[in-house]
Parts: sequence; structure tokens; C-alpha cells
Amino acid sequence: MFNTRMIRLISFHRYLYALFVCWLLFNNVAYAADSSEWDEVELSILKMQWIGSLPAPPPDPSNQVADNIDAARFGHKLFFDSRFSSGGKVSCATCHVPEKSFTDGLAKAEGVGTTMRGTPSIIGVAHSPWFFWDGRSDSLWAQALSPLESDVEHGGNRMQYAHIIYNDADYRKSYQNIFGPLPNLGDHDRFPKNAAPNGNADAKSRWNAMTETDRNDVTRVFVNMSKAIAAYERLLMPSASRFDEYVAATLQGDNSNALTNDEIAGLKLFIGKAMCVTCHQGPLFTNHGFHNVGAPDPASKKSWIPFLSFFKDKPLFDVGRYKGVKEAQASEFNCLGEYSDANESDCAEIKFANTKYLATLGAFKVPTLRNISATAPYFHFGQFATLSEVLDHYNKTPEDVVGHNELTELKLSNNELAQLEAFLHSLTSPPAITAELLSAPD
Amino acid sequence: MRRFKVGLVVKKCAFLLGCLIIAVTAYAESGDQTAEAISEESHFRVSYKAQYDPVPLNQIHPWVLHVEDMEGNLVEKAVVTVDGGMPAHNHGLPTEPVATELGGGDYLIEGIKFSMTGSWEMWFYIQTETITDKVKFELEM
Repeated sequence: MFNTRMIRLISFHRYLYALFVCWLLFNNVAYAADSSEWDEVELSILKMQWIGSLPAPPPDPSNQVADNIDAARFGHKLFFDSRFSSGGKVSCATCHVPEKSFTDGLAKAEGVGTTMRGTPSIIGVAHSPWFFWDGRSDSLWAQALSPLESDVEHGGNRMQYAHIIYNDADYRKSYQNIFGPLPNLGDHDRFPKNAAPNGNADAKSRWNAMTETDRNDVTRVFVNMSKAIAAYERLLMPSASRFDEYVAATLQGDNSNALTNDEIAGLKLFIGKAMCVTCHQGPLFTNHGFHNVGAPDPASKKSWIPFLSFFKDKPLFDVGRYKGVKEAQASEFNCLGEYSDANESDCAEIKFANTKYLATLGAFKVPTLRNISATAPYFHFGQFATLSEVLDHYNKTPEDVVGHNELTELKLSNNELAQLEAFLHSLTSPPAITAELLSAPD
Repeated sequence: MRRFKVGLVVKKCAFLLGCLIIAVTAYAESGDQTAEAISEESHFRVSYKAQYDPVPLNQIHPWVLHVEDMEGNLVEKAVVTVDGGMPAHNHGLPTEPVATELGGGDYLIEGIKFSMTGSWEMWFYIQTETITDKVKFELEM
């Protein structure tokens, strides 16, 4: 019935059809490999990063009021109160600005002076075992103590702060309800207006003139106000972002429009080829660890400085965790100290902390990537103004700056870098806390 | 031509499926709670048991190390020291674990923590009065 030409034509159609099937198959395979299809391993990583996997914050045995709501409300007031500074203008919220995910948009924080490093976000900070870029505190309350007496941050002193609490009827009542009686700070012969062990010469001499019991009582008030601030900060958890919305739907097997194709491709890179998830792991996108990622340090460009620095108490370039861990272990305010409410068995992090040179030199704390869009500039002293610059740094194999850096060359294309950056912008969400706790109390 | 194309699709699909199976298998084996190994110079048969199954990320936890000689005799009164890290990243452990003898060839290793996903090594250096040897365990976290 069919002539040879027709048979050839049908065969050709079959050939075209086979080509079409092949194209569909290849297309599907390609789609599965680099778009919104996820294999079992990837799904388990997505679940690990999802906010739904974030447990309640671990208890802080060193702070007996860590989860006391009255302490958190008191701490909220203290956090926003600029009277706790030398000039009455600096509060915790001066640098930890709620609208900027509790950062300040500056390379180096500005209190009464300029600090050494940038302000890290405190969203989700209750999950961290270490605080500051260099981990020089092992509890949230111990962290809060340090800026209050720093001469470039709040600039005040513990004696001054104890008087503020004592003389403010509302604060005095809150304090005594939570912590018990205050010492009789109205006795100015025993308790001068300003005194501190680490302040200026006058404040120091007045501190040394006080009895040991009175000094301990004042330090106890100082510690308790920090424990209340820590109770407030423990409430600062992130809410679900577009990334979380996407993962929630994906884990249910549903389609989601929460992320664009570029953002999905960026997410795939984040948990795969770009290896970001190696350190930025878990629902807070941080392992709370310390790593050397070859961060540029202007001082280290002078090659003789790192060498000289080991002969000085105050290194000329930023050694990070190397110094931080030693400070934490030496601090009277650590988990093992007399102002901690913990038992020794609760203090594993500081007992077993690695202090070795190789493990700590030039290492800094891995920051959360939640709300990363709102926390520029980046790295410990704002070395990078934009996320694009940060990604460019990771994409190359930077030279060792201070100690040995752990990065390996990623070889990501410009398009892949753009996709990664797009994904990072999907991690933005407001804190999961009532609005009244995000601004100064009335 | 058609047969070639179809064959290629089948091969490509099989390859991808194979990759997926391998990846899933590796992941399932991650952070094993127990493992056994022979020391480098074959003096000791060593096993560990971690407190949690699987071995957790970012959580300090203890292991119990059990040490026997190759004849099955318990190794007691040994000095055990711990090291480890991630060779691919050229860094050590985030903690400095400490060993304490429990008796019966068991040694409590406190302070173990794995802070990153990826391949980790744990090294235990075992020193008796007459022998010094070391044993390595590999973990995929």
C-alpha cells in the first residue's frame, strides 16, 4: 500500500518522534539535576536548615533567670535604656538596632567611641554556646557585661548602674521581685557614685577603697542586670522566611512559589557545590563554631606584624579565637566562675574548648545567615560591603592571612554566584516576638 | 542512530540513579554510633560507642572506647590521648577531649564535638608500659 517514499517519510517521523522523546527525557533529567527537584539527601539537608527543625533554645544553667519572663521584661527595659552609659546616650539598642536585625550597618560599632569590630546580629543567639566574634564569653549574660563597662561602648561602670537600678522605683521593684533585696546603695560612704575594677584611675581607686563584701554585692547587681538582659535576648528568635515557606511546602510534596527559579538554584548550590552548608548548617544557618576563612586584615599586609605580635600582650592584627578562648577561660564571669549558677558538669564547652594555636589563630565565629540582607557590611570588621563581595571572596582561594584558612576554591560561575546571592536574600524575616518587645518600652 | 540515543538515555538514567543510591547510602552511614578498628601497628583491637545514635553535630558528648590486645585480653592502665579533625579542611577538633579509665578495658572520652558536615577522623593514641600505637576512626557527618 505504501510506496518507498511514504515508508521513508513514516520512518523519518518516527525518528523525529524518538528525538522528541529523547529531548523530553534529557530535559527532565536536566531539570531534576539543577532545579526544583530534590533527592532524598537534599531533602534531609533542607529539613535540617528549615526553621521548623529549630528546637527550643537550650537551657542556660549558668543563668537561673534565663527563661523567667519577668526577668525578660526587665531585661527589655534595660536593653533600651541609654542611662546605662557614661554620657546617657548609649544603650544596647544603639548598636543592636531591631530594624537592622539587631546590627547597626557599620563596619565597626560606635558607642561612646569606636570599637574594634562590627556588631553581630543577636537573632537566635540563645542557641549559641559562645559570644562575640572571638568567643571571649561563654554565656549571653557574660557577654552583656563586657560592653557595659567598655570605654568605647557604654563607657559607664557597675557602681553607676547599680545606683540607677536602686534609684528608679520601677527598676528597683522589678529587680527585687526577681533577684531579692538590693544592698543599701543609699549609703554613699560605702557606695560612691562611680566605681569599677577596670575603669579610669578615679573609679578604680574608689573601687579599691570599698570593702570586699560591698564590691561583691555591687558586682552581683551588675551580673543580675546582665542576666535579665540575657533573658530578654533569648526571646529574639527568627520567624519563617520565604526559604522556610518553600521548604515546608517541599517537604509536604507540594509545589511552592515562595522562591524564584534563581533562588532555588542558589539554594541547590548552597547545600551542594558551594559547600556553604558545611559551616552555615542548621535552622540558624550557623554551626556556632569558629573558622578561619582567610578574612582580610589590613594589619597583616605588613608581613613583619604577625611575627612581632606573638611577643606582645595585645596583638597588632586580629588573632580572633586564639585570644578569645583564653579570655573566656580566664574570666571570673565564665560558666565555672562564682557568678555562674551552673554546676561544673554543665560547663562542657569551656572545659573542653580547644585552645591550640592551629585550631584558633585567625578563626572567627560563624554568623547566622538569617536576615543577612539586613546586616551589611560583612565579616568581623566589615571588610566586605556587599554579599557579592563576600561570595567573591569565598569563590577564590584566598591566601592565608592570619594562620591557616580552611577555604578551597569553588570555581562558581558569575551566574551561580548571582543565584547564591539571590537565595541569601530569601532568608529575611522579622523576629518572632511581639512588637512591643522590639522597641523601647513606654 | 535511534538505538544509540535511547541507549545513552538509559545509561545516563542508570548513572544518575546509581549516584543517588551511593549518596543516600553514604548519608545513612553518617555518624555511626559504634565502630571497631585495628590499631595502626596491629597491637590493639579498639571499638567505640558514642552516647548518641547517630553521632550528633554541634553537641559535646562522650564516647566509651574499649581496648583489647589482639588475643582478646583487656588493655588496662593505658594512657589514652585524643586527636582528630577534618583533613580536607586541614583543621582539628573544635574541642580538646579528655580520656579517663573506667576499668575493664573501657576509657571514657569526654568533650567530643563535631562542628561541620563532612569527613572527620578521630585518632586515639594508646600507650601501655610496653607498647605505643594509634587507631583511626573515620566518620561522615
